[in-house]
Amino acid sequence: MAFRLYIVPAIGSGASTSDARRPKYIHALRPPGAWMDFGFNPVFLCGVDMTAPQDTSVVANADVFAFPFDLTATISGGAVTTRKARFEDFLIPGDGVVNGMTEKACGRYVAGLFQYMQRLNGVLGNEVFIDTLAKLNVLWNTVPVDPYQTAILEAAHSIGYDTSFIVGTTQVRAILRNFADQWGNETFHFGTFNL
Amino acid sequence: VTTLTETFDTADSDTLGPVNTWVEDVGDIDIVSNKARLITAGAAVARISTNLSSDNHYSQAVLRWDLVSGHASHGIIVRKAGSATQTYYMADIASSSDVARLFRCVAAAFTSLSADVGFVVSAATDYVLQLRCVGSNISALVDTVQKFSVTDTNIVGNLQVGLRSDREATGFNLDWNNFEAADIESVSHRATIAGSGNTTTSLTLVIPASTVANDIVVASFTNGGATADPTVADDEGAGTWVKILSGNNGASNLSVWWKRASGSTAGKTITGSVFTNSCTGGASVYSGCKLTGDPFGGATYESNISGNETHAAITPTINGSMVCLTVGQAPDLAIATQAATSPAVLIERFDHLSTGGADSACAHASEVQVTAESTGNLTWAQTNAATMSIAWYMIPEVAVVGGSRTTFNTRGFPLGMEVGMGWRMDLQ
Repeated sequence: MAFRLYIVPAIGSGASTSDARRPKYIHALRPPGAWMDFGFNPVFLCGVDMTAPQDTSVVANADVFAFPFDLTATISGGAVTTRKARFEDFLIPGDGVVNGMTEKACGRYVAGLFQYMQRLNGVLGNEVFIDTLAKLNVLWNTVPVDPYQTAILEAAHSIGYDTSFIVGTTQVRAILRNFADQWGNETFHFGTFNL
Repeated sequence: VTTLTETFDTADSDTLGPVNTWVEDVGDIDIVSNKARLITAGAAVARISTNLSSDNHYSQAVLRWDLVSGHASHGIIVRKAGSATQTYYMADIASSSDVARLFRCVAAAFTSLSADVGFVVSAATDYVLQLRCVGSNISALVDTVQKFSVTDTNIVGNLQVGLRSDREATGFNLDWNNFEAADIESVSHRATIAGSGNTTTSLTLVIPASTVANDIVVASFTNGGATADPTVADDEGAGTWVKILSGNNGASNLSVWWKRASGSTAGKTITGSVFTNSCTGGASVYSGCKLTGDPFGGATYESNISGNETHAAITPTINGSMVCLTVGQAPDLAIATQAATSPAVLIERFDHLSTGGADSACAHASEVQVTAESTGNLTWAQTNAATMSIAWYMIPEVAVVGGSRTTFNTRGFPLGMEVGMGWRMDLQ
C-alpha cells in the first residue's frame, strides 16, 4: 500500500531470537520496512508498508498509534493536544509536538528520541528508564547521580550531544526533547524507506 | 585500519583457527573438514579476539547447511563486546522459517531490528552473508543483495566480530567458511558545534565531548566586515590550526581551518578573533580521516554573485571521502538544501546567523561519497544575495595489508575481497 509510521507496544522477553523484543501486531506480518525501539522501554516506532487489510487490522487496536500516510500534512489546533496526549500514553514526552509541525517532523522527533533512548539503553543496561509518566516530570537535581545522571550524560556525549543546557531544575522530559532535536538532519533508515 | 581473514583451513580441531585466535563464548564450534562447524545443540557464539580499529566495520562468511532440517538459524555478528558479554549486532538466516533476520543483542537480550525477509535455503549450497555497521546504520546483505538497513545507536565502540548460530537439535550440520572482517574505510561525521549568539569581532566554539584522538576538527568562519582571515586558536596548549582555504569577495571573508585532535582536545574552546563588524562560524568533527599529512584535498573557493547558488564540482580521488561545502555571506540569510550529483544530498551540519553588526551567516554541509568521482556542481538554496563558498573533501585512511597500501575496487573494498561485498553506505 504505502509507507506508514506506527507506534506500537513491544512484546517478547528478549531471552532468545525466537522470543526477541519485537513490535506487537506488526512483526508477525513481515511487511517491508523496519523499526526502532524506545530504548528498553516496551515501545516500537515502525516504518513499514503493509497491505490495506493489514493496516486496517493493526490500526484497529487501541494500543496502536498510526501517523497519517501523508507526512507533509501539518498538525494544528486540537490535533496538537490530542497528539500530545496520545504520545504520553506511550511515555513519549508530548511537548515535543508543536503547533504547525509537519507529520514528518513529528515522526522524526519520535525517532530522534528513540535513538537517544537506545544509546541510553546501551550505557545503562536493560532497564526501563521511564516507567511512569511522573518520571518525565522529575527535575534533574532529583535524578540519582549514580547511575542515572551519569548514564544520561555519558549516553549523550557518546553521540556528540551538547548537555550544557541541563540545569538543576530541568525536567527529564525537556532533556529528552532536546536530545531528540539534537539528532539533527540525519536520515533514519527503515529498510528501503528513509525518514 | 585492520583486516581479518580466516580460512579455517587446518586439521580437524576443537580450536578454531588457524589464522586468528578465537574465543568461544557460548556453545561449541569446531574445525571439521576445513570449515567451522556448530557442534552442539543450542546457541554458539565465537569471536576473533583481535580488535578491529574502528566500530565502523563489517563481517562476512560463507554459510552452508548440509541438510535443511529442524529449527536452525545461522549467522554472523559485529560490534561484539571483547568479553564473554553477549552484546552485538547479528544477522542470520533461519532455515526453519525461511527468513533472513536482523537483531541486536545487549547483555543477552535480543531485539528484532527489522521485519524478517523471506529467504529459502537449499541444502549443500553456499550463501554469503555480510553484516555492516557504519555509525548508526546497520545493514546486511545476502549474496550481495541488501536485505536490511536500519538506524540503531544502542551498541557503539565494540571492536570484535564473529560467528553465531543456533539449532534445536543435532542431526545436520551448519558450517561457516572464508570468514573475513575489516574496518570500513570512510570518513564519518562525529559531531558539530555551531556558533551561538550575535557575534561581531570574535566567537568561541566548544569542541564536542565525543571527539577522540585523530579525529579532524574542521572550523569554518565568516568575517562579515573585512576581507582579512581571522586568527584561530584554542586553549588545548598543543597542536595547531591550519588553514584549508580562504577567500574574499571584496567585502567579506570566508575561511576553513583544521586541527588533528589529541586525546585532550574534546571540550576545549576554539576562539576565532580579529573579525570586523560581524562574524559567525561553527566546527564539525570527522573521524576515519587520513592519519598522516593533510587529511583534505581538492579545496576550491568561489565568490558567487546574487542568484548564483552553485559551486563548481570537485573530484575526490579515494572512495569514502567526505564531500564538504561551506557557504558564507555578510547578510544573515539561511542556507538550505545543499546538494550535488555524487553524493546527491549534503547534510547540513550547521547554519548559524549572526545579527551582530551588519549581520553574517555561515553554513557547513557534508556527506560521504561512496565511489570517487566528480561531485557534479554543489548547490544550495537561499534568498538571493552574494555569497562565498569553499568546497573540499576529507580523505579517509585506507587499509594497509601486508605493509603496503591496498588497491581498492570501485565499490570501496580491497581488490581480491570483492566476493559478496555489495557496498551501500547509507552513511548519514
